[in-house]
Amino acid sequence: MKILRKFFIVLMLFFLYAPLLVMTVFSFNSSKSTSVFEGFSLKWYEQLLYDAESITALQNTLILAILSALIATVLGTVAAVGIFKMKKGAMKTALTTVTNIPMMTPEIVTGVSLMLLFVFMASIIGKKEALGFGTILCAHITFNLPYVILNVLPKLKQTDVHLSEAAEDLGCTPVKAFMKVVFPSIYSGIFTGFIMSFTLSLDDFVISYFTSGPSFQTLPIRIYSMTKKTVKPTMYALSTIIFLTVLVLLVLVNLSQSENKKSKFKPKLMKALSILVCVAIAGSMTAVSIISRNLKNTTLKTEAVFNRDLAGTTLNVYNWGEYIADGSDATIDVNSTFEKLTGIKINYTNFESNEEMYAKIKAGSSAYDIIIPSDYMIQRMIREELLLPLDYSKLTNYHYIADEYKNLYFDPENKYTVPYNVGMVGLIYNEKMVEEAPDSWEALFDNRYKGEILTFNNSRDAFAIAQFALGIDVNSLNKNDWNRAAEKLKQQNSVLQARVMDEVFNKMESANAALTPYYAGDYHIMKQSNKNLKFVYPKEGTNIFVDSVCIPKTAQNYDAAMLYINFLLETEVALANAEYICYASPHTGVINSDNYTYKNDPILYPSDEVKENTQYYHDLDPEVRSYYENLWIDVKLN
Amino acid sequence: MNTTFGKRLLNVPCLVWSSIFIIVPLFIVLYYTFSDGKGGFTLDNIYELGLYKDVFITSIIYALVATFICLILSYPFAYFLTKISPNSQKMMVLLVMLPMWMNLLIKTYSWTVILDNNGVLNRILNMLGFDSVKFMGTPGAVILGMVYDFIPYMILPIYTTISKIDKSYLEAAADLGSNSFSKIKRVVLPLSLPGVLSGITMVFVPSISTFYISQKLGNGMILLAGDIIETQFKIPNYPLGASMSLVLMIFIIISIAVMNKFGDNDKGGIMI
Repeated sequence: MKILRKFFIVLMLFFLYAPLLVMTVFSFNSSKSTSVFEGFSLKWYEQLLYDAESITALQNTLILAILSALIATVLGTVAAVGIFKMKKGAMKTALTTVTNIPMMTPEIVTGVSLMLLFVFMASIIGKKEALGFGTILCAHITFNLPYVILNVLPKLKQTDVHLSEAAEDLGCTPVKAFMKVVFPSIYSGIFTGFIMSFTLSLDDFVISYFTSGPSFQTLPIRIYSMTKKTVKPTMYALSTIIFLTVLVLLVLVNLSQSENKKSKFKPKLMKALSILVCVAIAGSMTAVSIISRNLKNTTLKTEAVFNRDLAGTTLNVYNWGEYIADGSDATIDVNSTFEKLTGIKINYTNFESNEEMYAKIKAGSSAYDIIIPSDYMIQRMIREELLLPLDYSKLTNYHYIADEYKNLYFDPENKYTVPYNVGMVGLIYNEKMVEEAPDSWEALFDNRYKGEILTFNNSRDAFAIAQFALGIDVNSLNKNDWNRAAEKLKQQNSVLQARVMDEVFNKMESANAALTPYYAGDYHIMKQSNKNLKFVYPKEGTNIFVDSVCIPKTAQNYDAAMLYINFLLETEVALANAEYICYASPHTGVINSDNYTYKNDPILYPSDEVKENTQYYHDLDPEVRSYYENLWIDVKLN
Repeated sequence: MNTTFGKRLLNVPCLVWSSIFIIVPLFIVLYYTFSDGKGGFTLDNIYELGLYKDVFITSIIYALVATFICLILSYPFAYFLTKISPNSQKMMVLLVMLPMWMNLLIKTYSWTVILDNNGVLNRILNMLGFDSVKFMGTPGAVILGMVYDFIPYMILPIYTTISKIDKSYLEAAADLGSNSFSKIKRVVLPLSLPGVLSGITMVFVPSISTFYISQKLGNGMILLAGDIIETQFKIPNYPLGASMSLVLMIFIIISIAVMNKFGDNDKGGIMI
């Protein structure tokens, strides 16, 4: 029986820790893949030294988690005692139900409604910057509250009410009676409430995203935002360090409390050791962030003189994750270099999708100065007057932008945008898993590859494939066209293995699937881990997108923003970004540079013939958007 | 007099907090539910929900199954925990929580590596001479994701209530001739019920609207309520998204009230 018991406990722990074992293994991988292990290496740990943003984000996350858990625990415990002492009735039910609402609401609903509340409150007191540390803290306390109450209430129900009454009869004040009698017996509930709150706060992404501003970014926001590209294994290294440190601390603390006299571990020594470990961690975190700022390459070869008139001001830059050179792999750290040259401080935060970025700008939540949306979103933002016109006279480097990326449909008069990156969708396939090299989108509907086909798990991109295959305009406003595409997608259901976004890297690298559509630049990353992967632009044509730098109307530091845009156009900076991001560059200085790894790369820079056969997504009417989103749900349910 | 006043005072901080950060956002959700997006009143959003009936039902079934599995795994686990030395118990509580401190996205990728068609688990099966099994994309994988995400929230409240049970009750039961099975059935189970109810609430409620791990382990082929609400907020169609989440909330409130009515005895009052 006892052995069975132990076996069960071990088995459960194994279930809980299995993914963490995988994580630990891949943190030592020598390649960028998180699914194919290619050899032991410490390089991701080394690269952490360059990642000051992640270290800062981790510090922010920890401070937020501890503070919000502490406050929620106090508030929740008081509330639980209050609720417990209330007479049964409507009021009691109402209060308990209300405190549970944050748990019942999908995160995105809580996030958006709290953001709208904070923006409204800020507008009342006339504050420009609605979101910051205070708002994200309030949000975290709110969603932690029900978990504390749900842990403390059952313990209160177990305590004998007569005990505290007896204590009061014996002359204790109610507070003293609570502290002496009730508190010790509900302590374990309070403790688990605290631990749960801490846990929830530590890994929250959605609510944090909507309630945080440009000056405060947490680690989960940083990691989720990386899914536009791929999650960097440095995040695996960082997580492994956190995981192992906590594990060691737990063991030390446990040993220090060991009552076993015969134990060879001296409790005091262990206690001292665990304190030492804590101090060492705090110290090394600070050290790493200082070192990393000095390690990074922040010198430009350029002769350009930078104006330091704006030194001391702050610039809020809002970009996709992993979408700027950060100084690793001997590239330039773009943001630190700009800070050094101009004296302007950059608050750099990330978003995960155009739609989430739009929601925050639209609400006017924060004073973002620079954003980098995609084409169709820019069209919508211009239409809704959310962008400020750029002062092109200050953009001395604008002439580098290739003519084909000027006057694009979303900004026909070139008033609002400077192109940053160009991407195209193509077909990636594993040559060992297909019978002949595909050249058409029809390959994704081919019965021969049943169960080995992937497609986009995002409505617009998935529909586009069916639309190209059927020869329908991707920007059609005709509902019938969308219906036809939906029918085509329903036929695809039976051959599909999965609908993926960022998981595509794992599935293609480890040869779990044969065919997938994805973005051209990302093919180069996948290919590093699986040499059998090939890429083709299907003959029916494909989607092209341009992400451009814009200044939203929330900007508070327009001049610094202009300076920053011009800085991004410095050939050296643009080259570093093009190398790091691995998408095609619209910058002629980069395209023609002999130092550019992807110079004349046929995938990033395909022939004119391929390019003529591409379509941009336009921003569609909300009614059409709702229409095809519903069709998409229908396709998925089929 | 003084003490009742004191007791009322206890509720003030929570009431103030809830009014600002829970009630007001709730009104924002209500506003959107009955809004046509142009400032007018409409019930269309509610009518439109009928289209998504199947998704809601699927989500509820999955959440129920996940909650049930969590319960049957957690109860013995929590019970066994109370049997080991007190110091190790504290460590075990933290050990159960620790995996939840790691980033969800990284854990999801790791599950993919384990469960994929030629993942770790299938390779082990092949080595043992079995055929590969398709795990990813099945309802089983989605439920596994939910169980993995939420099981600590079931284990911990059950553990804290079982550990609080007065040992003398168990001795008394043994003296009165109970064997260990009936001791559990007649003493431990009823006394740990509040913890079980808390655990069920903390697993079932978030499971309904979850989508991350489960969506990814479902290979994007299984649609849950959390997905479609997120989609509405991205379109953005706040009115429809808000009405979906309101309906979900009402459903959850009713089902928990029913659960507590059955499960709770006279002492506790309704927990939700």
